[in-house]
Amino acid sequence: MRPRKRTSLPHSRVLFLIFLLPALGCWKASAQDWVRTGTNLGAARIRLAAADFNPSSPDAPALKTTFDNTLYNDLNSAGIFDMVSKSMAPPVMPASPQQINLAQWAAAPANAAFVAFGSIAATGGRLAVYGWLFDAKNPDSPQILGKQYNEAASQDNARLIAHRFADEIITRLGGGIPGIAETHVYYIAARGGNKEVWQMDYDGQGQHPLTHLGTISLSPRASPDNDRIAFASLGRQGWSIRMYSLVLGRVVSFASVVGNTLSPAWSSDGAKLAFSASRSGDPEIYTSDANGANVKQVTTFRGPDVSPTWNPKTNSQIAWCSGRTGLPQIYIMSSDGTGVQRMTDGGYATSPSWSPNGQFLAFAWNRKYGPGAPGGQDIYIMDIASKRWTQLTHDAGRQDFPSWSPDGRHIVFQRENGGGAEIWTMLSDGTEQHRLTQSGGNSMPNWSWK
Amino acid sequence: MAGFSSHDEILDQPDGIGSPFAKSTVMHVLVFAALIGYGYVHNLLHGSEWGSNSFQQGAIQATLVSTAALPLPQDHPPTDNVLATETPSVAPALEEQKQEPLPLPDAVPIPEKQPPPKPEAKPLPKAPPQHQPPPKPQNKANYGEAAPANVPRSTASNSAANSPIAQTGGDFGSRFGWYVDVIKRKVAQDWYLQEVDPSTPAGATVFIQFTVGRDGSPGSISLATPSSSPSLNSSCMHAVQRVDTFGPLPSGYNESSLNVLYHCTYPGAR
Repeated sequence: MRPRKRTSLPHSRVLFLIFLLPALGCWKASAQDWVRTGTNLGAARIRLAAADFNPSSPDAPALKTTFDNTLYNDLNSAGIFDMVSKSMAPPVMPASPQQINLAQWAAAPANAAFVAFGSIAATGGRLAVYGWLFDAKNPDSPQILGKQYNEAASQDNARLIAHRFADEIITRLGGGIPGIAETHVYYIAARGGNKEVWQMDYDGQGQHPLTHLGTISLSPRASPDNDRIAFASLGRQGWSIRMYSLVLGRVVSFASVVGNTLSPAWSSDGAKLAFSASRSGDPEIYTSDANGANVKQVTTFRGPDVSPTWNPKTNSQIAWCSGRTGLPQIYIMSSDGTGVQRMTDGGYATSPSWSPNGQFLAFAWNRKYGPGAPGGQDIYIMDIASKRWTQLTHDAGRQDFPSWSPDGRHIVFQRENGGGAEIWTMLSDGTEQHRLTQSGGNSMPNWSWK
Repeated sequence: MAGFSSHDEILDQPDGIGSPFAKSTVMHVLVFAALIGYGYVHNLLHGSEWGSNSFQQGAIQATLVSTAALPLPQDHPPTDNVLATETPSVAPALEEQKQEPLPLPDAVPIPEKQPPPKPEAKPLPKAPPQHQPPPKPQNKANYGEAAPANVPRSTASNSAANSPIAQTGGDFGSRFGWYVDVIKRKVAQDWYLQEVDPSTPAGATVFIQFTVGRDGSPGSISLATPSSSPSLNSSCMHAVQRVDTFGPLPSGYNESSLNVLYHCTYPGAR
């Protein structure tokens, strides 16, 4: 600790300062610091090291392994970090800021720009974690983050705390975009002839069923507040939208419109639903309030209109899949049905999903559709303003049902490659594809909003 | 014989193949026309259901030059230069033409130019002695407002023993370099090079000025020093405007906002 300096001022200077006070006030008001920076080509990934946490109690090691692995995987799959591999990292486990030697981490072979470290202790049935994030290149003022967590000691809570700490690091270094380590993926699992709504963590852990309706359910969509799941289910009256409460753990009532009602979609404020209903045998897009009231028909085109998705940035536009010109194509329009604009120029395009920043559409597209035509169904994203698209998956079976993560850096999708359909995830530039489900038919994934 | 005569009559009768043939032809034509007509009418009624692959203009077929709008870092920006291929050409290389050896540089002697003779320097007359006035004695003290020193001027003790001492009054860039990196990275990710006119010279630089609020949102975006390319100026402005937030300002920074001077340097058409 540095000594505190105190100096006494002579009376003449005190008077001088009194006269200067108004001027100083003005100067203080505009005394923000200046930063000069810039770019000429892209931005490299952030070199980050995640040190193994120091076990500071005898019971900690069992939970520490879970914690360390989860933290490393969360940071590694964030899409913005170039992680220092465990074999390159110094073989130390600093438990506190006093124990870390930043020069050791900043030097080769680790070359870390930032280091996450801390300690984990399990005492009295409680799990206590202290975590820090330090700037390895700035030894004078290294601390960026310091966090403390305390939960009941269990493997699930060790994973939960690792997710939370990873999300804090990603939010801080990723420029304010929250991490997705605590998000979930909802999907349809075919088990025993039925199709039910299931839930898993974003990394494929903790897979478990939500509904037990004994029928066929499709297209689950989580509400923005993470309280409810809207999905289409086959009943006596045909297809209808049903609502599952994650808070109550059961299906709750929802006034679904008459007729086969499919593919619900939430607006990002949670106030509106869009869906397709075929009262007259021709599916059209409708919107309603979140409780099913105030139903309005939006499209009146001849030919099927299905799979609506809102622009989550503005909630004033809807993208959907229409067969008005033959094969299904992606269109966008205002939420009142005006300003229809065709986005794809041919082939077979389905399952649009609007990116969280409102700039992109992800969809499944078979550009060379037809008997004997080459090419398969792949995931594409399109820049809506310029209608320029890019292909994310290549030659890996049939892809469908893309869904954006809330940070806009990931896409979860369904892939059929030989066997049954399974759920995969990838970065939104098509790299780092990982399989989330391993067995059984799993389809129609939907990423939660938070 | 009667049987033979009747047989002869039958043989003598003219062949009736013309009429059935004509009828058959007419029937075929009618059936064919009916098929074509049915197909036309069916297509009118059901032609635009799922199943036909009609092509309509309306979208642009061009791949993204860059996925810069994704909130992901770009390590290796893609190139659409068709000449930049790693595959060697299958055409045989041209034989090098034999060139006659150039004559040696000293084959023809070049007469050197003789410099004119320098005039002999005359000694300068001695300068008269100049008397400098003695320096005035400085009796006034140099006090008043000085520029703030770029070092931490005050320190405060922190009750938490494990955390380092908070410093105030220092330079933002040296204390929170990671936040400067965040600003640089986020604007760089949202800067679309395809918005810049390709005729812009490489190295052209525009300076943008903006503030970052405590919540991390950019504001007061303006051009500080424009470049010669209006498209470069606007693309850099748009890059900052696309950023929703840089994340909250560091808690150790006590001011209400941060001023940023950001430059975008065009790397040249790729």
